[in-house]
Amino acid sequence: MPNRYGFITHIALLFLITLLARPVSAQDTTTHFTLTAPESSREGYFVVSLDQAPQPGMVLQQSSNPNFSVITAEFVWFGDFEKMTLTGFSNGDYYFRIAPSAEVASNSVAVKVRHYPAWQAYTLFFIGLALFSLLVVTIIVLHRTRSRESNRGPDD
Amino acid sequence: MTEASGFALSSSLGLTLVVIFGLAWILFGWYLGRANKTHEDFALAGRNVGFALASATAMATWVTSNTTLVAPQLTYQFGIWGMVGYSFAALGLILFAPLAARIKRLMPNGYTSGDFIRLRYGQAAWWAFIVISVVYAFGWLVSLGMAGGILLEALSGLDYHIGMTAILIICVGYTLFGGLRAVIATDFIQALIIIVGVVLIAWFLIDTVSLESIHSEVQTNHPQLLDLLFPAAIMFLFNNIFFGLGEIFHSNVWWSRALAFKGNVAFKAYLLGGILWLPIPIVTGFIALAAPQLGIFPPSADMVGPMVAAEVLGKVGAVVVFIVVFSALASSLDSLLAATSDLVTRDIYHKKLKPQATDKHLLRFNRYSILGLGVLTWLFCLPQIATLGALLNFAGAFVASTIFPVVLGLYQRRLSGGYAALAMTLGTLCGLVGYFVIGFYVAALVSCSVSAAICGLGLLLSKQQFDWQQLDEQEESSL
Repeated sequence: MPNRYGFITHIALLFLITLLARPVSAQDTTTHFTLTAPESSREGYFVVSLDQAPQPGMVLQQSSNPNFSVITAEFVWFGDFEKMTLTGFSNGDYYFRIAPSAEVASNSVAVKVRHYPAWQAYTLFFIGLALFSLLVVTIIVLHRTRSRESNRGPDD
Repeated sequence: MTEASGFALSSSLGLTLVVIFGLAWILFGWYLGRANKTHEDFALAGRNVGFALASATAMATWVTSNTTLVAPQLTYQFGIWGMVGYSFAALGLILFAPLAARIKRLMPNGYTSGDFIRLRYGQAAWWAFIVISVVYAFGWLVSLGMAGGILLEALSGLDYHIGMTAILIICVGYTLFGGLRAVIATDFIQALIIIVGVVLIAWFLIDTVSLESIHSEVQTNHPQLLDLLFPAAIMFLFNNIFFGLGEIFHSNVWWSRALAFKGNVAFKAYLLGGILWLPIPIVTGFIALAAPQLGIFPPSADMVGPMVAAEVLGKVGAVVVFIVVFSALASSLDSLLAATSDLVTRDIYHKKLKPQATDKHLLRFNRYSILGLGVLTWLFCLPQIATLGALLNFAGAFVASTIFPVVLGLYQRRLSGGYAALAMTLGTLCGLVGYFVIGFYVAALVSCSVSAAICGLGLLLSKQQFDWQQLDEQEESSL
C-alpha cells in the first residue's frame, strides 16, 4: 500500500503549483512611475520629477486638459536624470504624464501657471530705474568734483 | 553613466581632462610663486600689475560660473530679458572704474576693502561689513565649487562630488603656491581661452541650428521666453544690476586688484574689462534658447548651457565647453580664495588678533587661510543645496546694502559710521525679507533701496567732516 500521507502531500503541492502558474501574457511588465511637480508657478518655469530613473526614450506628454484628449507637446527625457526643467509657459493650467505604453505608465500632474501682476513688475522696475539713475549721477558728479579738487591741490 | 545614456564625454575622458588641467595650473602657479618674497608680493603682486594683465584679470574674474552657467540658466528661465539683463552686470565693472582710481589715490598703502570700512566708518560698520563679506564670499565659493561638479556631471555623467572636489583641489593648489601673482597670470590665459571658446561655440551653434528654427520653436512652445513684458523677468532686471554692483563695490576681489594695479591703470583696466565682458553673457545665454529646439530639457536649469553645447558640437565641442567653463570657474575661484584669505589674514588675524605679526608670519598665515577656506568650501558643497542662481541671489540681499555706503564713503566726508552700519544692517535684513516673502528677484533691489534711504538720511543729519588722510594707514609691522 502506498504511503497515503506522502501521496496527499504530493497532490497538495501539485495543486499549489497550478495556483501559482499564470500565462506569460497576463504578467504585469509595465513600470509605474510617480510624477511630481509644483502645483503652481509664478515665473512660467518648473521642475517635473520622477520617483526612479527613466527608461531610454521615455516621453513626457503635455496637455491643456486632464483627460489628455489633445497632446500639446512632448518632451523626451534626457539621460538617466530623474528631473526635467520645463520653461516658457504663459498663464494657464497644464497637465503632464508619461506617454503610456506597454512598458511604462504614470500618474498625471497639474501645474497652474499664474504670472506676477503687471503693476507689481512695473513698480519694481521703475523703483530700480530711479535708484540706478541716482547712483550713476552720484558717482559721476562726485568723481568729477573730487578730481577737480585734487587737480587744484590737496583733497578737499 | 556612459555616452550611451546621452552624455557627450565618457567619465574617464572627463576625469583625464581634469587631471591634465589641474596639473598644468598647479605647476604654473608654483613657477610664478617663486618670485614672492614678502606678504605684499603674495597678497598684492608687488602692487605692480600693468594695463594688459589688469584688463584681462578684471574681465576673466567677472566671467565666472555666473556667466557660463547662470547666464544660460536665467535665459532658459526668463528668456530674452534673462540674457540681456545678465549682460548689464558689466555695469558693475564699468562703474567701479572711477571708484578704483579713487581707492588707489586715497589708500596707496591699503590692503583690503575691510581696511577702508574700518578706517572710514569705525568698528560697528566694520563688523556689519565683515559679516556681509564672509556670507558673500562663501556663497560665491560654494557656488563655484558646485558649478565644477555640475559641469562634469552634465558633460560626462561623472559624480557631482568628484568634479566639485577636483576643481577645489586644483584652485587651492595653485593659489597656495603662487598668490595673487599666479591668480592674475592664470586669469590672463583663462581670459583668452574664454573669449576664443565662447565665440567658437556660438559660431557652431548658429551654423548647426539656424536662428529661424530656434525662434520658431521658442515662439510656438515657449512663448513667454520671447515676451518683453515677462513680469518676473522685468522684476529681475534691476535686481541683477544691483546685485552685480554690490558684488564688485564691496568685494575684496576687486579692491585688491585696484590696489595691485600700478599707477593710473585701475580706471582704464576696469572700464575695458567691463566693455569686453558685456557681450559674453549674451552669447552664453543665447545657447540656452536653442535647448527646446534640440529637445534638451535639463534636470536643473543651471546645466542647460553645457548640455546644449555638448549636444550641438559632439565630443570635440564638449571638450571645448569643458575647457572654457573650467577656465571661467578657476579664474573666479582662485581670485576669491586669494582675496578672502587676504581679508582673513589682514582684517581679522593681523588687525584684531596679532598686531605684532611679522611679514613672514603673515605670509604663512595667508597660506593656511587659503587651505582652510578650501576645506570649508568643500564641506559646504557636499550637499547640493540649491541651484546656482538661487544661491547667488540669496547673497544679493547682503551685498547690495554696501553700494551706497561704499560710494559715499569714498567721496563724501559727511556720512558717519553709525549711519553706514545701520544702512548695511537694515538693508540686508529688509533684502532677506524681500527674498523670502516675494522672491529672489527683489532681494538686492530692496536691500539697496533701504540702504540708500538710510545713507540719504545720514547725509542730511550727520555733522561729521572726515579727514581723508586717515585712510592712508602706514604699516607698523616689520619683516
